[in-house]
Parts: sequence; C-alpha cells; structure tokens
Amino acid sequence: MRGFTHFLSGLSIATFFKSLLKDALNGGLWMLVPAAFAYLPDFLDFKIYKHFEKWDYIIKPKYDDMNPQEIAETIAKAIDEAYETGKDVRLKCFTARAPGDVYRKYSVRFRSDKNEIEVVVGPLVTPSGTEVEGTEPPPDKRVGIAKTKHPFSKKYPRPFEVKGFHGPSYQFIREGDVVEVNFLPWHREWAHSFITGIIFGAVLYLITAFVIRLDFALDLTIASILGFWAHIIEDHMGMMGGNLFWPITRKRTPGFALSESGSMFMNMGTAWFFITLMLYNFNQAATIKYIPLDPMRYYVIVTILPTAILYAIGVIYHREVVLKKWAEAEQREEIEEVSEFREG
Amino acid sequence: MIDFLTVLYYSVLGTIVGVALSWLPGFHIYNVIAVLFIVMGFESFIPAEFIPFFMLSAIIAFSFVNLLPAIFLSVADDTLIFLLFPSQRALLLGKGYRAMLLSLLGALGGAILLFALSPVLAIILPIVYNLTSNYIHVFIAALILFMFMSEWHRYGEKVGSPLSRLLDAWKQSFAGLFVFFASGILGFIAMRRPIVPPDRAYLNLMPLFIGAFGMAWVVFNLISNVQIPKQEIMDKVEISLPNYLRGLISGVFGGIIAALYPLITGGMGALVAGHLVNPTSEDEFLISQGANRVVYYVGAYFLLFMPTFRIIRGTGAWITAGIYIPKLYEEYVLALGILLFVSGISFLATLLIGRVYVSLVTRISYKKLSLITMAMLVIITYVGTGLMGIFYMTIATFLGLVAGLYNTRRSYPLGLLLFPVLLSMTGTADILCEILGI
Repeated sequence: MRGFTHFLSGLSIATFFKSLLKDALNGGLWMLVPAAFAYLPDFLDFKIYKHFEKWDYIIKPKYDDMNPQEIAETIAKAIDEAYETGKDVRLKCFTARAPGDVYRKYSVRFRSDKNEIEVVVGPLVTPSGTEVEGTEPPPDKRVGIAKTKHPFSKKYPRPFEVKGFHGPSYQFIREGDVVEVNFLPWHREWAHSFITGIIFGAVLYLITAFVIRLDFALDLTIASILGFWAHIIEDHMGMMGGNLFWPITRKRTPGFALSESGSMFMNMGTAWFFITLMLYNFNQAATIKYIPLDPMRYYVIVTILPTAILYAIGVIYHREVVLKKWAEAEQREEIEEVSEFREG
Repeated sequence: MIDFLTVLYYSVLGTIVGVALSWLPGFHIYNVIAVLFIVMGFESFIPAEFIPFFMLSAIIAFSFVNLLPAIFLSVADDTLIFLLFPSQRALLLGKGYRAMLLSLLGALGGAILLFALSPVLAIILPIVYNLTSNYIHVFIAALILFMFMSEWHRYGEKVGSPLSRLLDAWKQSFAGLFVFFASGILGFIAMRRPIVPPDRAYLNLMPLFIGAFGMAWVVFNLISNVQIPKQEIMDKVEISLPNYLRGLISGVFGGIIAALYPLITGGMGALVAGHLVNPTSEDEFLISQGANRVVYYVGAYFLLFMPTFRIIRGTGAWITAGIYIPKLYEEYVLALGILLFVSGISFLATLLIGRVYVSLVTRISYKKLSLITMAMLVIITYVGTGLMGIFYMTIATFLGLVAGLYNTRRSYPLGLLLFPVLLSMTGTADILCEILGI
C-alpha cells in the first residue's frame, strides 16, 4: 500500500483507545504516534536503511553514452559470482539523468529460459515514464545480451525498468542449483517484521511510561504496535511480501499477490475501511450522535461492503489487466530491438 | 427575492476582474480581494447581497486563468540543479500548451464534479465535519508529520560511504525542517506583533505569503537561465478515459479535503489524494492539478453558500462574511448556476489567453517580465502593509528560496501559518512566547 494509507491506518487504530481520544479532545497529539508507527517500516527502509546497502557491482551509465552490452555483461558476471562463491552478491543500477529532469530509460530482462540477460536502452523519459519523442539511442547502442554460465530464477513478476528518481538494486543469491534474483533486497526485510514492531513498541513504552510518565503509555504502545503490524499486513496483500518474523526468519515471505502496492482500488478500499472506522469511533465519543446507525449495520453497510467492492475490483483489475500486461512484457519471446540485434 | 439579472451582472463583473488579474504571475486573487475591499473600500460600489456572487466569480476565474502563469512562467532552467514539476518539464520540451490543455480539462471536470456532487456533499459534509471538528488539530499535525516522514529524498543516489549517502539524502529533509520552523516562528511573530491595524488584520500575513511563494518564484525566474523552446500548439489533446478519471478523482478528492479543513492547502490535499488514488503519469498529474485548484479555491468559498451548514474557509470567504453571508436556498441554487456559467467562460477565456501566452512566452524577456512582476508585488505589499511588510516579505522570500534550492517541498513555508495556529490549538503558544520574549 501507499504511505498515506498506512499512516491513516495507524491514526484510525488510535481512535479505538478512549485514552488517546480523550487526549486529542484536550488538544493533545499523542494519536500521531500510532500513525507514525504505521508508516515507520517504510520510513526505516527508504529514509535510512537503503543508504547502508553495500554493492558488489555498480552500473552507473551516462544518459548520452550508454553501453547496453557492458551492462548485460556486468549483471551476468554478478549472477555467476553468486553461484560460484555462494555469497550474497548485490548489484545497483543507477538512473541516467539528463538535463531538463528527464532520464534515459533502460530495461533489464532476466531470460532464465535462455540463461541470458537482455538490456534494452530506450528513449529519454519523464520520471513517470512518458517518452520524449526523437530521443531514441542509435541502433547500435540499443541492445546488449550476455549469457550466464549458471541458471537463475526471478520470481517477482514485474518487468525491471530503470527510469526516473532512484534506480533499483538486486540481490543474487544461490539457492540449490539456481541463483535467485531478488528485487530491492533492502526493502521489507527487518523493518517489516512483527517482532521489530514489538521491539520499537517496547522502546516507546519505556520512554512514555518511565521518562515522560504518561498515564496512558500502555494504550499508546499497544495502538502503536497494532499500527506497525497493520502496515505489514497491508503490504502482504501485494506480491513482495515481507520478512514477517525477523530475526527468526531470514527471508521475505511472498505476499498474497492480490494486487500491486500502488493499486488505486486497494488503497482507496483500505483508506475507506479505516476512515469509516475512525468516524464511528468519533461518533461514539461525541455527545451528539451524528451517525444514526447501530454498530452492526454501520460496519456492514458503510465499512465492509464498500471496502469489499473496491477490493474485488482491485483484485480483478490486477489479474485481468496488470498481470497480463507484465507477463506479456516478460514472456514475449523476442522484443523487436532484440530480434534485430540477434539478426545482426 | 434576489434579482437574477443583477446576480448575473455582478458575476460577469467578478469574472472580468478575475480574468483580468489572474494571468499575471505572482498575483493571488485573495491578495487582490484584500487590497480591493479592505484598503480601497470596494464594497461601497457593490450592494452587500451581491458581493458573494462577485467574489465567487472572481475566484472561479482565478482558479482557471491562473493556471497560465503557473505553467508558462514558473520555470527553472534545464540544468541538473532543479527538479521540475510536470508542467515545467513539458514547457522545456515544447509541450507547454498541451500541459495547459490537460490542466484546463481537469479544471473544467473539477467544476462540473463540484456542481454534480454539491447536493450529496450538502448531506455528507455536515456529518463528517461535525464528527471531526474537535480533532482538526490532530489532522493538521498528522499531515505535517506525514509531509516530513514521506519526503522523497532526491539526493543520496551516489557512490559513496553509507554515512555520506545518508547525509546527502537527509540535507533535503533538514532544509525542509529549517524552512518549516523558521517560517513558523516568523508567522508567529507576525501574528503576535501585527504590522497593520486590527481593521486590516487580513493583511497581516500577506507579505509573508507574497514573499515565500510569489516573490521566491520571481527570484527563481531571475536567477535561472531560462530558454523556452518553441511551443507546439494543438487543437485537441488525447488521453484515455480511465487516465482522465484517475487524474480528476485525485484532484477533486484532494481539493475537497483542502476546502473543508482550515489550514490544509490544495497541495497538502493533493499529497493525500495522490497517495490514495496514485496518478501514475504526468498527464494524470496535470489533470489532477487543474481539478484540485478549482475544487480547493471554489469549493472552499462555496461552503459559504451551503444551506445545510455554513463554515468560512479562505480569505475571500472571511472578507465576504464580514459584509454579508448568504442565507437562502435560492442563493445556493443561483451560486450553483454561476459555478457552471463562470467556469465555462473562464475555460474559454483561458484557452484564448493561453494562445497569446504561448506565442509570447518564447519572445518576451523572462528577466524583464520577472522584474516587472517583482515591482508590482513590492507595490502591493507596500500599499497594504508599509515598510515593515517589505521587511517581512524579504525574510519570507529567503525561506521560499531555501525550499526551492534544496528541492524540498515548496509547501513548507506554509509553516508561517500552520505552526502558530497549531501552537494555539494545542495550547502551547505561550511557551514559544516566553522563549521569544514577546
């Protein structure tokens, strides 16, 4: 899910605690702590932890002089190294930014059926990927193909494209006779674990109960841990999943793959779910009752039903449109540029 | 009974004022309204019951026509220093007119949706507002916190030690924190030590807003070596319906949030809506930007006409409420009609002026235009608030420049309003008073 959806979940969870609602009615802002906790896993990953990743291979191409063959060979070499040494090999692909805040796009196809890495250099694109006309590279600078000595597998279904903002990094790690390709290896690891939520909650409790001496430290801690956990559960709706019980578990558990994290329907459905819960909690705390429905009717008609409809649309759209589009991009036997390249 | 033709007359007048002033860069309709009504006593020329219609029309026209300077005259150069907004990038690629068309389509869609949703909103908004009004300080603080936590670090993408990468990334957030809190303290001082008499209280923060947003923008134009390429003019723009709707929903949703709650601006509303609706392309962003502006500015003012509940949002509404507050269903229905009528006129007017704009933008000297705008902003500030206002404006300009230079959120200077009001809402303003000795 997107950041604000998580944040909103935490804020909504806080409204289930009377002490936090009372504090807010008195001008307090402690309700923000569970909201911050609900966003914390991504904050830790994207704002801090990603900067500590160490790369064994770095691809830092120039927008006006990109060498796809060199990129493909570097990736193939990293995969082989992971196989031969059994080590965790990390590779970082930087973006290639050009003047005017546009970027040279390049895509990496992991063709496990052929033990090949295909790199296709595209035109300049805006950060969201809109192509700038007339900026395609010359034909001899468009495609690079390199063979790996060893087999590899990529489970994440989304095609890898390096475009705007920040470039991705990959982890290559040998699992049996195959090298596994993991996308964004620093993401959804220790920071997306239920146990990490408890650890941060314990620190919060120590500070609020013994240093600040807050009356409702326990309520605040429980709400915050629940907010943190809500984030992990929401993220698990997607494909990447998370390392749910780090440090006990060492790998990410794949998600339920209901939809992608940016899905409008899933995000709106989740936001609707938590907003309606929050409104009902506000109603319960108010002296005048503005919502005339009893809890059961309200939860079924106003909360669950619209959420279920939005989720259903999100799941269907993901399966029927998004996944098919990705599969088409990944499984196409040959893309035009690559065919031309092979034909010489 | 209110005379329809007179309503129409003053609406057309408001539209003319809005259109005539909103194509100028750096101008904000609220500043113009404040100077017209508070300094120049404009209300003596218009009967009180027609002022809401005059204002509504001027604000609608502004929300459309002001897209032009936002798209064509807010350009950083094409060095690698600045990160650009989609409209700025489009302009540098010769697609500024296309960006304008998309934003305009979003604006028109926003106005139509606002019209269509109005009866539903009249039922739902009072419930939502009454339930949440005791927690507004929580929502505002939550949005500020989220703005900081979710700041997308543009830097840090480099080869280097983890610490150097971390510090490089975080300089953007540190700059944002500095801008927000420095603006907050400036706003706090301006509120506690007003520079204008109480009858002109609305003008108190005007120099700060002009400095942080209008003047900073003009200075960026002056220091940037802008070379605008020839712009491609087209009669139609193609976008798929799902993409248009996604942009529109995002803009309208963000606009409603911003219109309903005090201190939450269109940009903050767009941040929330953007996360939920997730517009994925520049085209969708441009559509949402247009819709957001209309729903935010017009929606906020339109709340004054709502028969089911009446809240006052925005400088325009505050000034109007001091003179006359609409009370009748008839006025609400007329206002709905005016919303569509003036939106239509403003849409066409923007198209027309846009053609002139796009032909001039490659020929005129950006530096000269920026200097003229700068002079006008200084004059408005001086007329409204005197020399002290110029002083405040200068400091605020610096803060606006810091936000831009560090590519942090341009909305952080809003701290000048958000921070002091939040302190008051949470009962902690006296602590800062003690620290500052005021």
